[in-house]
Amino acid sequence: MEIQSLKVEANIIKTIFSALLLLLLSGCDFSPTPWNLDTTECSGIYTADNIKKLEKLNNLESLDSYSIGLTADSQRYPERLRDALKELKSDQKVKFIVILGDLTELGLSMEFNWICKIIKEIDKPIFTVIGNHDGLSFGKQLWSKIFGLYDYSFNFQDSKFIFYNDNKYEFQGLKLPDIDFIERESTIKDNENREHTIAFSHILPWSQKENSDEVLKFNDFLFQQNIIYNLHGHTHKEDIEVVESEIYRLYHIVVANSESDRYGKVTVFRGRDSLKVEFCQTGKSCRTVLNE
Amino acid sequence: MHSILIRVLSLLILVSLGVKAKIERIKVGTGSYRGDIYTGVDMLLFKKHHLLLQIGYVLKDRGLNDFVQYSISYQFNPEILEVDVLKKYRVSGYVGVGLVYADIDKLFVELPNQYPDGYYIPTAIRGYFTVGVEIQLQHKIELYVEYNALDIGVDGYLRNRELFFNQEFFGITDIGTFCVGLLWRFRV
Repeated sequence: MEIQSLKVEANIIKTIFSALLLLLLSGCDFSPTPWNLDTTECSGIYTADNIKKLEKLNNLESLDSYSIGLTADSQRYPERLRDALKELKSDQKVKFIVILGDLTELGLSMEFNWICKIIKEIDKPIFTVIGNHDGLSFGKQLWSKIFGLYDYSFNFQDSKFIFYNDNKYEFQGLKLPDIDFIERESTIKDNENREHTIAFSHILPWSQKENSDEVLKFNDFLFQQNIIYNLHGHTHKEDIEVVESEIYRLYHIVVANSESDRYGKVTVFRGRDSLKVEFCQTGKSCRTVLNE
Repeated sequence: MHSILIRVLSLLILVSLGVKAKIERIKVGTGSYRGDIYTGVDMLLFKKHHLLLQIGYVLKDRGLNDFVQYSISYQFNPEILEVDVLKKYRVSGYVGVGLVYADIDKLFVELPNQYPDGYYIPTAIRGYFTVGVEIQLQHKIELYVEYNALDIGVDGYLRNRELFFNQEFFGITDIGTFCVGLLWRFRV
């Protein structure tokens, strides 16, 4: 009787330890800290790879018009970002998508992994600009690991698309935006046929610049580089700011945050100077807000 | 350490002294946002109510230096979750909440000067919610396994239920993590 009881006890201990061993070996995460650089879910969404993907498409066909999908500030609402991306995925006119920063709230690896899973469900090229929230904690390192460069550019259908980091609070010690980079990338090369130069950054030029002269100078600079259309997130409210002077007219287009189920679309027409801008709500139709 | 953390710790220590908390167990473990290796004391506040103070060490990762984490948590071991196996092995469940603070220059509790007031919440402190099981192995030694969900994870789950619920294991591994460890009871 005693031997039988001992056997049962031994079996119970074995079962408990087996269960624990199974738990350890089953891939359960034993993360030692929330502040880690784990990007398990983020392979295959590197910006350089998406540029290559788009280049293939660019070489394949010449388009009369095409659209760019825009979302911003998903932060605590990745589900809403997923809904917007799904709609943009199903729109055949949309050739690539830009997420205009603040993909996360605190720049934690956990949040980046949520977003990576969502982005990987979309088969269209997705590009990103870093937001101020993404630069918190170890967000900068995570960003570099997941997406690569903060500042980059590419050509598509005779237009140049420039993406730049303008989060000056989170990148103390750097002079942002990198004017030299923007100037270099926006300059039209010999034999290059360029219709538009469109820029993307998270923050509107005046959101973090107390000095209005600085804002004025930056807008003058954008005009000199022929960057008439600038796309942003950050303020969480959709908006079109028109900057007019005696010699130019610039557009700063702001896409609302994912929480409000909003996203945007910009349509580029070949051989036409102006763009068409639409603001959309998931599950509902889009409305044209600029089409001059 | 920053002033908010000192205030929170002081308050909890005062509370524990006020109720004549007794150090009941010492723990050593790994995982669950408390370190690659961590140790701590488990104080009994009232019957079934525990206060735990822990310190953990996080090893150097690629691109990230090693650092120390401090955590404080409250744990409740309700009787309803206690089971005696063959009247010999006590298996008991518990729930809890806690705070973990990372001693890293890049993170902050008080907003650095360059930001406008209220621009960000603290990045150096995170909260967590605990569900765990203790298994009494010997008279004074217990093994524990815990699941901890991070505050930002729970917040994310509640705001994005459909997204997480449809993931593997209902998304709980996306918002939290596990730890294992041993408890040494020196007051029986």
